[in-house]
Amino acid sequence: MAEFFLTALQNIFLPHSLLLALGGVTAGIIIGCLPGLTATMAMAVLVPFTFTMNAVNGLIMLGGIYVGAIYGGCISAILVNTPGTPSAIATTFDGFPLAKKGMAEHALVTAAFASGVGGLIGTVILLVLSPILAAVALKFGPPEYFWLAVFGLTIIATLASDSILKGLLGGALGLLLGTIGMAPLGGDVRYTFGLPELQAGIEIIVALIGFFCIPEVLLMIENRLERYKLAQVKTQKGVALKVIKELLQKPGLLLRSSLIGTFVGIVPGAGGNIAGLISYNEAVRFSKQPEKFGTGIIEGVAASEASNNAEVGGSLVPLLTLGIPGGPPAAVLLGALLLQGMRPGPELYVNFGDITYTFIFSLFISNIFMLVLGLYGARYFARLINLPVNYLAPFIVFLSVIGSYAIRNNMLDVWLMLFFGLVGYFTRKLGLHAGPIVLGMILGPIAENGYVQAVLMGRAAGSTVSLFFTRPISIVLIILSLVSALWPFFQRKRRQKEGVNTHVE
Amino acid sequence: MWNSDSLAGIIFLIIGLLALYGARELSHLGGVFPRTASMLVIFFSLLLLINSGRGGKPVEKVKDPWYVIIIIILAILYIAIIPYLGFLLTSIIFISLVAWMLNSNRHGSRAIIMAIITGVGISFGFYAVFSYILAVPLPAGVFFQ
Repeated sequence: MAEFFLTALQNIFLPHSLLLALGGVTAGIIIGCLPGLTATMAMAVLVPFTFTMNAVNGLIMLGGIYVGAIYGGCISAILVNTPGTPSAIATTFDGFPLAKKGMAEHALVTAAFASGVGGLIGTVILLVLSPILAAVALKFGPPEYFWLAVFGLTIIATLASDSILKGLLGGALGLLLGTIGMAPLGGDVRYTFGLPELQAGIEIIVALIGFFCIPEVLLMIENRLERYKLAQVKTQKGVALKVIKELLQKPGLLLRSSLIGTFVGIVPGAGGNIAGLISYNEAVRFSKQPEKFGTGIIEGVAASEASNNAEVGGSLVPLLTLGIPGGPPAAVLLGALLLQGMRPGPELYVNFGDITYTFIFSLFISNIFMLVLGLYGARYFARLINLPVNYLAPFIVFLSVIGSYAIRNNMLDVWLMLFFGLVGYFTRKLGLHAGPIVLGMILGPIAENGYVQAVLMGRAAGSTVSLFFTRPISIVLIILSLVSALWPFFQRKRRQKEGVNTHVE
Repeated sequence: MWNSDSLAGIIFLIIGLLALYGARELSHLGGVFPRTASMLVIFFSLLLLINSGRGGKPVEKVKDPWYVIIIIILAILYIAIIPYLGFLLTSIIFISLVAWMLNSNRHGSRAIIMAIITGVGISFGFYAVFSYILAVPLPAGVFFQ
């Protein structure tokens, strides 16, 4: 591992690595700060630029985009009360009131600083935890992968949607989409509608570009006459330093929020928005003056931002070690890794250690770039918030077309992209979000491969049942699945009993 | 009459049933997942339908449906024409047209000129980046080969 560290250290300080990270972070902040354009979209629309790069460079840039986009969401959250990306939702609670009080600079500095701290802590945890988890994952056989995917699917139900039933339905639809193509075994051709190109299954990036870019474009067109009224940013000398000093006196808040963010990120299906909301809630609970939250205090902004940027590192833990994305933006990274011929899992740490550690180390650099750009540039990025829709909308469609074509130089992928985009738009109107569908699409084939191989192993060994239900890691995963599947019912009961209202709904 | 629960329920119930029907001739191992997934879709759709009586949210309205429909049609035409006119030319036309159409003040020559500049600039810029820097071959079109 030590030699990987050295290579990684050498790699990240190469000029072009630094440039790619900076470029990624900048592009990410721009897209992240535009209301309606999510972090997932930033990654999906920019991932084609990495196709012909080598794996290291592509990953460095994508990591930068991820870090930048999640941070960028806070700028519009603070200045126009609209999260630029869903994960910044809790930033609006105190960020916008601060801006209304004329303290926009306080809020922006807090957000940049907390994001940087959160991002760095999340990356440290990724660096420490993922090799350990990868070592555990080496012991995973087909039945374990089956149960792991089942666990991921049950979590969708609990976390991914405002309506549990629609989250489940979305997950099931994703499972169904994931079965398109050749069966892993036996040569059955499923749901290809006579198109030979579909036999290899649906390229996940095509679906991601469709699901996360086209609906946003159409929604943008619906709301194209809206103009956001920006709160004024008055800069005063010494404010930044004063705010940072104040934040440094609250290490507990920053650390707690970052840890919450990281661990929410590790859970598949729970994204930055949930991380921010839980962390905000906890900040209120731990505070000596909870009534001040929501009136515009920097603690509220810090809780949300530290958490959602820590979530970036967290969401990469299950992705890199098990191939299971912690959230939709991580799903884009999964697609990019697969295109580079790198199957996420323990192999990344054993065979591709130099690439993997370079990527993880580059996240430190990206977070530092993000911190600097955020502290000095937030005001300038804010000017992009009212970018006219008539230029933005065709531009995104253009990038989606170019991107889906570039994957395999295939027009059918472009048609599929548009098809998924329209499906995503109409399901959104019905209250079904793309997140669960995409996670279902990714987890389905993992579950199926695990299942089919396990059944074959079981046949050879003479007992399928014991293979599925008696291996220790499997039992843990089964218990986790049961807990997460039943969790919503317990929670509903508890809520009915206590009549409590939490922010996390 | 229709709320988002009942509408989603009925649409996905039909899709689930069709998918289950489509899986009828698959072998056991090849068909387990398609069948299970179809049945899950059917099951959750039915639950949604049953629950829809109890206050499902209304279906979200499409604001400005004509613009949305026109953009969808233009996007379809865009993709359909690329193999013939090539990526560059089709993109210039598509971007310019949409940029002009969606302009809140599209009267006058200024809006047209701005739209064309946007279309040409974006198309050429990214065409160059993809073709020459990233070495992704983009369709040239039947007329330019």
